[in-house]
Amino acid sequence: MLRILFISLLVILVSCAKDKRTLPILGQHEYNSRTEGVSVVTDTVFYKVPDFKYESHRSKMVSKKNIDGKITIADFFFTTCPTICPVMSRNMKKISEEFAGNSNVAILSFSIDALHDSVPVLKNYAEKLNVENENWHFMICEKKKTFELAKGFMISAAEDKNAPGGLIHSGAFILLDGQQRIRAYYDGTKEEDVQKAIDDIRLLLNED
Amino acid sequence: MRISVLVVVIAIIFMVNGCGDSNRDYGSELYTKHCANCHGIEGQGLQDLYPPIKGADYLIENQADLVCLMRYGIDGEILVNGKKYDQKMPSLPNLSDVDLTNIINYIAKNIEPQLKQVSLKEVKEKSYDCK
Repeated sequence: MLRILFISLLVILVSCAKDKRTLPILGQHEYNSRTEGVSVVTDTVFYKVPDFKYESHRSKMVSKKNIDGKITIADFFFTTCPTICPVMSRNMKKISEEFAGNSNVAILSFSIDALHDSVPVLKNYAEKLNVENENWHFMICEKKKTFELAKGFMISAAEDKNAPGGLIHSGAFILLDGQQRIRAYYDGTKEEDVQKAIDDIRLLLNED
Repeated sequence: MRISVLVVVIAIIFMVNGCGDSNRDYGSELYTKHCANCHGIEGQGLQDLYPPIKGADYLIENQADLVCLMRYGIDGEILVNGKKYDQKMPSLPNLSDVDLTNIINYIAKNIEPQLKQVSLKEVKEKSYDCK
């Protein structure tokens, strides 16, 4: 009898622990102190990715407003990238298929090659990749702005004459919560990170 | 005396084993580095963006040009198993004839068995003809 009670308690404890997994809020936060009566109250201002406004492969403007309240996963790529981008697109497609039809999950793929990746080129890329998820946006803007935005996502993207394709960029997938706070990074070139990202998106969808 | 002979024998065994990794598959390493990103680790391709290698009629029909295709890339539309592909395939100028031989033989052995294995001599001759 005692043994059954012990096992039941253990099961409850384990299941409770599983539900309580949370993702950290990444980035440099600010602390604002203010006086309230006789006490000093400190508010934490969490880091958020900067504002952006890009043209999507559907010829629509997409800005930070469009992802407000949505769980977002983003990457930086270019369509003629001969190295890691095809692998990243392959892996992002698996994530997109998992959340197809879910308007609470957005996928942003920022092209870093403004010279080549025009809206029609991005449209062709999305079509050839058979992207059916209408919440996945392939986007383009000025190169300098995208390099700056990458810094805001705390990853690197830059020109490099010695790199294949003349550009280098991180292969990371960046997970944002509904307030555009960075919650996790994944290696977009690793298939095993796809499931981790899917699990974490579900986790954030259920977050209070 | 016996002990010193034994020590020398053991040392030789260690040296021989340590001199090289006999299990290393250069073809696999090169394929993974230069081909698999687009064409997939199993040669399955990527949707309608990058064509497959496995079961690709284009590859079988153009075996004779394979060395040149890999060395100088492909720019323009190609038809693979009835489907059009137009993504540019970059050239691989830094790969040696030995590298190309290893990649082709890896593909022939592991991905597309209809592809014929090639010798280094054949690849060298084809490389020369590309120019």
